[in-house]
Amino acid sequence: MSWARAYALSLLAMVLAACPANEPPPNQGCANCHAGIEQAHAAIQPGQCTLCHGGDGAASTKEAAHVIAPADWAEIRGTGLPPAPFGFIKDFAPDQLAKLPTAYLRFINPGDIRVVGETCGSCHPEQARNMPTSVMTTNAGHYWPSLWLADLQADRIATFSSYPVTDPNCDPSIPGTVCALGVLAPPAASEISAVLTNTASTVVDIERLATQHYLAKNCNTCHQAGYPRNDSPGLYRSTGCSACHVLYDKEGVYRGEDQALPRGVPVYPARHVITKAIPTEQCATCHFQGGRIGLLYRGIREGGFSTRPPNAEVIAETLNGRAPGFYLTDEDTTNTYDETPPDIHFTRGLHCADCHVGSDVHGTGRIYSTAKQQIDLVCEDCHGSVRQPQSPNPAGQLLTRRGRVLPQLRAEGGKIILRGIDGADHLVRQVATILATEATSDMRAAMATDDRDWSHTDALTCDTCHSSYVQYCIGCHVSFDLRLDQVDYQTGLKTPGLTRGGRTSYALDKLLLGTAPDGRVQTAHPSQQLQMSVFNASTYGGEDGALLMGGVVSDGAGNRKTWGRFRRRGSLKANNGFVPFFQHTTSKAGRSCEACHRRDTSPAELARVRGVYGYGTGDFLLTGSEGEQVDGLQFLDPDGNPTTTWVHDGSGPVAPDRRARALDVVLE
Amino acid sequence: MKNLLRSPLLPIVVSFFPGCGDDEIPPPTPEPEVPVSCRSGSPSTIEIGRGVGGAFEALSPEADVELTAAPQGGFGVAVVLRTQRLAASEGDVLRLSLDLEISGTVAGHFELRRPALCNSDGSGALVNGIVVGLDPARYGSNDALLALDDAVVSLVVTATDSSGNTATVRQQVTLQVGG
Repeated sequence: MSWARAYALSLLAMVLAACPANEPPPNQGCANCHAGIEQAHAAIQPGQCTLCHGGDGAASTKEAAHVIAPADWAEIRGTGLPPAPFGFIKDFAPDQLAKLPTAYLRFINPGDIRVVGETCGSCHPEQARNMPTSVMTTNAGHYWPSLWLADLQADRIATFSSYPVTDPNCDPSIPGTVCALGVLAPPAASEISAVLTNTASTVVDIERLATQHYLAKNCNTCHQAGYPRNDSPGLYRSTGCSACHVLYDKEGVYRGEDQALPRGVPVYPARHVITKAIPTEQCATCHFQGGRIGLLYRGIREGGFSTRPPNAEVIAETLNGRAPGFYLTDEDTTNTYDETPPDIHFTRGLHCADCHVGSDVHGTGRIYSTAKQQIDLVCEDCHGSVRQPQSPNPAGQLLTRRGRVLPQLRAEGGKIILRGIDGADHLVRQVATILATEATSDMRAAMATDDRDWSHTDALTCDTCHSSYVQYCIGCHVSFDLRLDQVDYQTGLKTPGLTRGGRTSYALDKLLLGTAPDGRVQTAHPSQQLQMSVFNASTYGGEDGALLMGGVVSDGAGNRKTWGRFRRRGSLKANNGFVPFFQHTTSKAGRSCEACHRRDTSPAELARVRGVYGYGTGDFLLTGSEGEQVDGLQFLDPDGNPTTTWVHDGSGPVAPDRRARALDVVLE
Repeated sequence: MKNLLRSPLLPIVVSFFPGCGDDEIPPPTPEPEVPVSCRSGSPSTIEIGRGVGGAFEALSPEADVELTAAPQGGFGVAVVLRTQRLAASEGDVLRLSLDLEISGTVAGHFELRRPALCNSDGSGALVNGIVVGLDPARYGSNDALLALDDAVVSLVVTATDSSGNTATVRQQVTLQVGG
């Protein structure tokens, strides 16, 4: 017996010993009302409801069987959230969930992070231990970059989480991890007042208030520690393990056979089933924000800009809390191609969960500062390299480059097969095999090793060429208005200040290249190009609407407009920030050589290609609060010096020597 | 696989799948009867309200409604609709026309199709997650948005069911920027 098999069997034995699923089922009290309810999990027998949900399975009345909502439910709910039936918690923010008795929380959602040790963790201890510190739960990578880019914190490390979290086995020597995180609540009225009435306060103090509000209020609904608003198609989901493993349909209503659950009433899972077959749509209940990969992967482009292409095809329904028409599926229905096609993996029937399994999603128990440190999957883990196809280890397993087992892959007959969550087998084509057997001369020039044993893939990530398009959001205007209140999704309460964001413009046909943390060149992306303006209110002793941060500047067309202040860090006056980013718009065909190299020796062509490497394109000029103009797609000055910082350690512009070599190439 | 079949763990593994191999055919589930309030008929009505989790609180005339900023861009008025006597059994879809009028001028017009979800308690059908947006070209700036605070506007909703039965409601509300 191999050590791996022995380990697996002993682990199984431990799990079975710990798992309560083999206890005899309790009486059938629950089934008296919930006749027809689906068996949630293969290991949990019908009638064992209380193993997960608690309550009294022997009781004969609903009141006695159910765990009743706490008497102070209305107080915990507060007045910021919409009207809801007594006991409804499925739009509660993390702070509100933390105030609930755990018995009630467990009754409503046994997968919540606060109770998962007693429920899912009985049989899945590793996952239950890891998931609460996963970046999908802490949201840690969301908070610190904005603070760091604005020089409001010193280091590139996580500083806040969506809920208080500690790693009991913390090892500070592991790069990119931290031991504990607290929450970021939006500053209270007293804190705002203290800053605004203090004559020693600076614009940086005001910027800190505004940034903390922005982070707590505008983007804090997408993590497993709390519920989303759960009031609109595309948003319905649960928390904790159930956020992914219990599926909600678009309307958030129950479609199963339980005779007791109400029909036509959100928010219920579509069926009372726990599943590993998590479709992309479930992931997209969160991933329509941030990098928007849940949209890009499906060929959906976010709108909301002041202009919309005249012949665009839109999604004509409310989605993700947006009005009909906010999302686009095709830029121009009068031509014969799709400018924003879905990722090829999506068109071939693969879901997010076909690639991202294990520690990519559950984490490892460490508190990572960003997803880049938690996720290790790269294209080569499935498709092999240009030199060598992917191949199993002696135990027959296929591993990532970091040595993580990819259980969805198997080697069979000299081929690599992926078993999809839909049960279908997908042939995973190997790059080395394609190059050896069917590659065109262009493909070989782009990817194969040359006589020096050098390949473009040594220097570039696969997605650099194989992303069909990149959506750049250019100029992110955020206003923080103290005259108004707004619900924040840390406390769930209505707190002072309204934060809202809007974008200036977008580009689909541009390309920027930078260096990824692994040292290779990758497509780069602006990182929340924030320009912030802050408006005062008389409640704080100022003049209503007086501009505390930002400037009123001519727009060049005879109008005076309010422009937000760019982030600043050190001597950088417009620290827009950039990140290398895998777009999830993979295409079979790669970009042409001219995307990154000159077609001729003309100055115009040189300027075009220099734009790819961050010298600016001149196409998207942003106006700052002092009237200064900044190129939204620029991160190098004409001499090649950085004009902005990059978010992640090890990332940055393409290295000067590589840049020079790439710019020297003139295609024939 | 052969090793697994010989393994003493087999009974334990098998016990994980208690339903496997069960040939018993469950009795057919009777079709639930559609309440009268969810069948197409007359008079058909539609109300505008707010709520979450199945709650419906009808808006009173000029009631405050929040102009909600959606995460990372976009904003609109989020409402819930309750219909009576419009077809709303499983699979039925309503055609909706939504208008937001400011001083008699349409500031946002949307047409969409949404399922009406019949509440089994007989109170009618709910159409959740309706966001009446505003034209981003006219209401994109902070100043334009703030001008809407405390503005009395009209929400006009027309719903048409699969048999062509229609209901319309016009409701004045007072916008509150925030939420």
